[in-house]
Amino acid sequence: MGASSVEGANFMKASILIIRSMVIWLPMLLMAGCADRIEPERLAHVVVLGLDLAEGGKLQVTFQIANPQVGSTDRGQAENEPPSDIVTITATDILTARELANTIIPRQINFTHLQTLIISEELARSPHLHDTITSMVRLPEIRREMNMIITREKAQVFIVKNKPRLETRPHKYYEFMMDQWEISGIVPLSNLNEYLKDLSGEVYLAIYATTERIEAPTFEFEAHYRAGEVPTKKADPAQMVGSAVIREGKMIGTLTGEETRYAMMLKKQGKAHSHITSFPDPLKEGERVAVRLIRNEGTRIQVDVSDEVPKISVELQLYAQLWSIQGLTNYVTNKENQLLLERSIEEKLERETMKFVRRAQEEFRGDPFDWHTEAKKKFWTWNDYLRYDFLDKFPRAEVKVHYDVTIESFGKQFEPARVRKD
Amino acid sequence: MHITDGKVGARELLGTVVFMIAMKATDSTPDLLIYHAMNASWLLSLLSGLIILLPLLLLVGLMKKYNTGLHDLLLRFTGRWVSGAIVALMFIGLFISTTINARSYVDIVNTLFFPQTSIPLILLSLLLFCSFVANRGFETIGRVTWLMFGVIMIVGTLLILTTWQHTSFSYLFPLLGPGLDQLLWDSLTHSSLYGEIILIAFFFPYVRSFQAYRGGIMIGFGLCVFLLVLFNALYVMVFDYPAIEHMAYPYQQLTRAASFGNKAAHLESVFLFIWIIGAVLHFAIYLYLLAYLFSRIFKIHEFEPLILSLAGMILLMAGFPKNIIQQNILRDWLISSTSFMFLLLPIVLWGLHLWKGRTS
Repeated sequence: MGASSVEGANFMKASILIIRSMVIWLPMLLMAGCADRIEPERLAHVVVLGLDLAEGGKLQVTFQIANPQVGSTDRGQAENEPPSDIVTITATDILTARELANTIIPRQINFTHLQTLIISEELARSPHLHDTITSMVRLPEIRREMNMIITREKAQVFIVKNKPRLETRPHKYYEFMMDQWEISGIVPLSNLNEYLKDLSGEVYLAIYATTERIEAPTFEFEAHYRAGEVPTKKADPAQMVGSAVIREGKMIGTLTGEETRYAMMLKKQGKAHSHITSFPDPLKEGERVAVRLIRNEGTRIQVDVSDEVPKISVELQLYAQLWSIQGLTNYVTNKENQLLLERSIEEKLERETMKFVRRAQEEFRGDPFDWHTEAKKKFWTWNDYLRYDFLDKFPRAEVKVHYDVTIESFGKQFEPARVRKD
Repeated sequence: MHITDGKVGARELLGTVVFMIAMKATDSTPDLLIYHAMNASWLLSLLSGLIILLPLLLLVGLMKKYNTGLHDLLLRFTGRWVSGAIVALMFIGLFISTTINARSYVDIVNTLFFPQTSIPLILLSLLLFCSFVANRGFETIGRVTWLMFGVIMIVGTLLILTTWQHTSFSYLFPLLGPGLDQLLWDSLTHSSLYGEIILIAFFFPYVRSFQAYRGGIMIGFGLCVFLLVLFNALYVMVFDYPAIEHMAYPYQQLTRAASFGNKAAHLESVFLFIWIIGAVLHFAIYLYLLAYLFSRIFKIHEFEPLILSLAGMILLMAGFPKNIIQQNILRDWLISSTSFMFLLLPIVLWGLHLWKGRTS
């Protein structure tokens, strides 16, 4: 009898406990986070954002909204839908533009998959570039790793025209291009994080692209083109070559593909580690030799800040693979010719690089190579570095660049085969 | 049926220490360190750790001699009323610290992840769950932290691996940031970053043996210093000073930068999940400690019911700061004022021990 009443009392206690906890728990399960919930099919994902200048200092914002059913197994259910929807709105900033766009698009626009930002050159050259980007970064949804592309024409025109024939999904185009940029170095790697690091007078390079076709001033050898100058007939509309130079929050000029490559190569670490270029044949006037230059180790940079004027010396070790000899000169089995070619490549590279460095010093008056990071290592405190003012002294700095080229392979032929004339 | 003896070992203590202190690398503490030490915030945390090492060793030495916890030491050396006053001071300091910290964690979740959910609601959820965990007792807390310790270490390593490609060691230079003299002064005033390692000495009666206590504390302390230094360095290496000065929540931004290869992998949800678990355990330990301190002032024996009421008080007080800027200012003032207390307490106790040894 005593046992059952104890059990009965325990049962009462247990049930009161359960009821009490449910009274606390259940309303919480219903309330917590319910204000921020949303179904995936109610979301419209913007994959490309375009910014243009509109009158009165306003922004013209272009949203390219991806259609998730295109390119997936769901395609059959949405056969007539385009791969993306492009909406352009004029507003004071991006967030208000988004609110206005929500009156047109039935889904809620969000930026979680936004990876690419396209800015027109007009906006980049105006004083509004910096405050546009800085106020954008405040939004939690915007990622700092977003790529920034500057276009010759208006961003809206670029986005509408950029329909690559083999890539239906817009974000894939930019994703694949990004992988190529990392290798070829013909375009800088530019994202918002890098931009926000370069606000003290350094020069920041952004990707430069266009769908316009521009007559190049003279016919140059491959990489001397800017965006739009690459001579093509009947190709995909967009070209991304070269870079836009941004300093102190404003765009001040452009670089050709080759100059961008030098800018990437002279940086201490990272990208642009292999690309194919052609050099003049030192033994045959007018002919060219195509090599692939590979950079395996980082560049050695030494900055000397003991004097009034900084002295910078840069050493690069490149390995060359000889792929094509148009002039049929024997650079393969002839040892002296090999050395001659190596020397000739080194000289050409050094000449062109110094030309570019001088241009950076005189025209842009800034350091696109991140050499100031090396200079910082020579100081103990931040104040010392600011007092030396490396960036101010950079235009007067003495720069020496040395290339060390070694030919490591020649393709699968030995000396070039010649036509035997009897 | 008693499976355990209700006491914790070195591992559980290690987990407790790590969750108490190392979680500070992931909230708004790096903001303060970067504000004071610019790009040398890692050096600031290292110096603070070194500075508090001496009082810590003194305290551990004292505890070895008398084989008792901090409360008994205080009673023995300073008598009933003074020890009551000291514990009351510690309680007030820890209470304000917990309130502001809880509010800052809630602000992070509200700003970055759930902008439309009301702050009191998130605060309620956080404190409710923490008090449920804390209610189970110190042994449970210790065991849960040891359980999650392995997970946290693996996820932390994953974070470092996925962000490594974005780091650049050169961003740490110039090494001394604002200058060695300012760094030293700031590390002195900010040593209450690690102050809880002194407070954990109150829980000595719950630990199985002195060896377990010493092992757990010293390894835990070393690991906390290492983690704080590593994370502060990581923030500067990825984002570079001065850009990081304008960034409000460096840990969450770091998780957004995590990626496998080039494409954004949106890994931040994995890290957020683990962070929330860490946050709940972090505050559970604080709640338990607060309840313990409160009970020691007024000589209450059963103090676990206090946890829920203290959580309620924190819920009310945490509504006071308007936003993160006010919290950061309050936090800075609090850290500076409690640092000297944590630094001087073991030294004063050691001094009293020598004095008593001489006269007796």
